[in-house]
Amino acid sequence: MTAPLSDTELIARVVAADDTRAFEQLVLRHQAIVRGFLRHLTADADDVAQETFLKAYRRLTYFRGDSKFSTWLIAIAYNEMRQMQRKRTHQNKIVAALSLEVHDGHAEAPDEVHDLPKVLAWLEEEERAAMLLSYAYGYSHREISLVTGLPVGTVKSKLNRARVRILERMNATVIQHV
Amino acid sequence: MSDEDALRQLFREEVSDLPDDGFTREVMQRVDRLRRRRRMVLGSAVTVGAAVAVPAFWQALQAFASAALWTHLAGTPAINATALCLSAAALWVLSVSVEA
Repeated sequence: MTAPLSDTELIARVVAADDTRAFEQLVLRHQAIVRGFLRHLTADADDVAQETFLKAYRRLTYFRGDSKFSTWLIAIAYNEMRQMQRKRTHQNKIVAALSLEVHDGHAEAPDEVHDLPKVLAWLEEEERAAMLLSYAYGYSHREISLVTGLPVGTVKSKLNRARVRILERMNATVIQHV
Repeated sequence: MSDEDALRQLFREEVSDLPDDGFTREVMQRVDRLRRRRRMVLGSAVTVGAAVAVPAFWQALQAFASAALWTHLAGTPAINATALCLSAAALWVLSVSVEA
């Protein structure tokens, strides 16, 4: 049995021969991380994820291998999400209002204090993305900087601020329930 | 458990492996549509380009053939064969581009 091809080998096949089977392998391999990341940031996660992979297909020749392929994809996904959000400001207000209602419902249940969607709702968008990338996917500060386009120092301060905010609120909730 | 560990656990537990659920198939269908659209655009561009370039090239060739050094060759089988070969090559390029 042959070993599965690496991302670099698959990318080379797509670029050299427009090999759609190779691209399909890349999508299969990375769909979970891209969709999982987006699902915590936007209600249109799968639409944005589709646009992300289409854009990646069109721009694959520009991938230089400076970062991991998944980091490059997440960066495209994050930019796509922000672009889509700018286009749909009005729609997003409605979605945000709806999700707040859902979170309000969760807030009434004391045993759901450690609920990630609720915790993420306490944060600003950039903090949310940085925390997800750092704690859920183990990205370094430099990688988060590549994805978000923020300087490394800003990434560090956003992570610190988010960490403090989450812990304060979690502790406050625990004290309330004691 | 430290605060840091608690945070890590909270984030890690929530981010599990998502099943594909037909996502890749949908992306590949869109990729196929994109490739078809690209081929159509490329084919149209080549056709228009050829429609403009071939007559112009033909006229230039005629003018060249009737000029100085080649004058005595104009209208002879040699120049007609050259023109035919060049036209065939242009048509071949056109057909390959449209097929690709």
